[in-house]
Amino acid sequence: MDLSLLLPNLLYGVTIGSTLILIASGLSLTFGVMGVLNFAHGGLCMLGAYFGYTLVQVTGNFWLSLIVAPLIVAGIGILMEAFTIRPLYGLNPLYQLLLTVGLAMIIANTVLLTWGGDQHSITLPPYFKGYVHFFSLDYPRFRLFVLLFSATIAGILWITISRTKWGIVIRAGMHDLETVNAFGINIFRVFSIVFAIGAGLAALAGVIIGSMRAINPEMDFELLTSALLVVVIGGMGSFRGAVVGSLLLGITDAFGAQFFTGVAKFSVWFLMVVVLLFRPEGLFKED
Amino acid sequence: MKSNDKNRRLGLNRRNFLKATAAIAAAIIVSSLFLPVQAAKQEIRVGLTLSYSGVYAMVGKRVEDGVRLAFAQSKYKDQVKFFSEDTQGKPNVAIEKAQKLFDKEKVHMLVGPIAGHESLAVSEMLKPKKKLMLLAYGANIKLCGESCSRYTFLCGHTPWNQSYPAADWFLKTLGKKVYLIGADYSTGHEVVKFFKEPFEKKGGQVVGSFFAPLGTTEFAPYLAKIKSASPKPDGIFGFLGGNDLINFVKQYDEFGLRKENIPIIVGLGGFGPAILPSMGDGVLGNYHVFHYSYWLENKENTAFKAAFAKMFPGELADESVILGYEVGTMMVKGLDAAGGNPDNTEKIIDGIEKVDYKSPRGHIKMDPNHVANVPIYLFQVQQKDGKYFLKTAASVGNFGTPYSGPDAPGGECKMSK
Repeated sequence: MDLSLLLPNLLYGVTIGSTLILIASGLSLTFGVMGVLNFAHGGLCMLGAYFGYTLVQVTGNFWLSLIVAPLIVAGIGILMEAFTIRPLYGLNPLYQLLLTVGLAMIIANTVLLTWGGDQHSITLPPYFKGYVHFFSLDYPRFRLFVLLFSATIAGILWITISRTKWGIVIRAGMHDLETVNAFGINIFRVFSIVFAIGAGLAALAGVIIGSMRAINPEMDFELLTSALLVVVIGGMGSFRGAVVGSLLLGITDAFGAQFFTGVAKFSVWFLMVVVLLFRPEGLFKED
Repeated sequence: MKSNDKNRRLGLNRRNFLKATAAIAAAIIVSSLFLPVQAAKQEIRVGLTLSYSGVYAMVGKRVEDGVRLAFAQSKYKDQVKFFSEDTQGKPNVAIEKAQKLFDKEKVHMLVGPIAGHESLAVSEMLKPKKKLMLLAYGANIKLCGESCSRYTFLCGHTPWNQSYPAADWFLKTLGKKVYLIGADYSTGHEVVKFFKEPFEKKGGQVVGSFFAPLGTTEFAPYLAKIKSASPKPDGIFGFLGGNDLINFVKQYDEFGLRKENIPIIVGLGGFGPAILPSMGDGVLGNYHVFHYSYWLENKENTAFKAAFAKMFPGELADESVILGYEVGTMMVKGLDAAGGNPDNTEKIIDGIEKVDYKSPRGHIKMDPNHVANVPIYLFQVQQKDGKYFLKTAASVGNFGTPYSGPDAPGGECKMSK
């Protein structure tokens, strides 16, 4: 056992976890507020990666793609919510399930038709290459950026939900939609905004992930699986759960690869089993 | 009235018409008397059990394109008929489809499946039936040794004939210390094993190793291990496929291992023309050991690429196409040896056993264990005009796969008629 690797692996785990926060919090929020478990969430994340890739190819500007790609996908999210999901509110949840699985397939095949089956990846600006030296540790610059950037976004989201008027509306919506409606707040607008935020955050994560890994038309399912794992571990519909679940999952993944190389992939599922055995509703109940 | 005028001007009245018809008929009859009798040529029926769905879908299609090109260039181009079946990468389906092709479609020979466990299963099934199969991929190491068959030919390459020479090259060129990596499934383990044995025997040292599960996206923990390895390795050798390799190369660059001058050498290829553009600058300077590159410079390759571009415009002549082309070429040479008679399987086999020719890959021969003896190269990724390409760094010689003695990787091959 190599103890000198403990600290770097903890940091890698936290970095993986911090990108997961961006994906899982959107999934969790839409479930919490709208009661919709969006199986197309991985697809939205993948769309972010592909739009990010194309934008970097065309403009050569990484920052532009980091801002514009999420906006495009947020727009797609608004349309998706308004035209496909909205008519199904209040019906059997099975309809929403079938619908979002169908949407996921449409997204996956549209991506395949538009960008083809070959792998791509986003080219990073040169100043993100190499690493930063601290505490006798070399840490890749881009990963450090990802860690700080995702933490900042998660922080802003946290403050928005816990301290602002919109946050109050969202939290109230999770508890009792009808009362919120009775107060004269347009819940459909709330739904729209929550869905757009979720889609945008997923796309943001997509751009970041597309800069670290290969972008391919099958990545949506893998991302969805990770996000679902987080939501199940953290607790359905809980923002706090999404944050804690993501970090737990990232760290388990990193240490799993270090200590149990052969069965590394199993470690995260083991974590889920353990959590569900003791807390079947996940670590946090609805906020 | 007008049309009558026209006919008259052309001299096309009834008498002339009859004369002309009679003359043409006579010419046909006379010419057929003097020309050698063109018996209706026998159809050559070629079956293909490849993967046309799932992860190997593109590979299957490209192999078929290569086979078609080889036949299109031969004298059998008007006789050949192809029958394709999708094995879905499953041995039981592959057996069923191969059986169907031979029994129902009456194919004369088969292009065998892509995955190694499929090809072994189909070869065992065809042995007692005395039916011929040629493989582009499906290089199960047992087919080189204890499970070799008179009716099966491996025309492509094997994990052994690439890993083994790579060990020698590594020791001579890079140094004595290696870090081994592999995808955690049979191919990954084989590629690493066939490198490790000769490497250690010749005084090399393995400073560390890992096998990552298929579909690994985060290599950070593994790269941290490589970074902290002591002594520092002179290079990383191993095998990861597709997306896993892209992820590894990107993160390897991110971790600064390229700057530390620890090159990656991928056994069994990996840096093909389809995948290279998505790797980013991290891929520059790294190597792969392989039997072919799109950029290989010889006149056969130039002609092959031109012919392929003409027949399949807009498609990429990658290593899957060349393997299909090799299979098709050997089928044609076997047919030549049998006087063009596709029913004479034994003569065709004798012909393929004797092949010795120049292909776009270089000099190709068939070893007695029915495994192609092929040139092996070390290719390095370089950049020209902003595009990545593979430069031939070394040509390490021709290699088959041993089939006798204690070191034979797949056991002893006892070929029987």
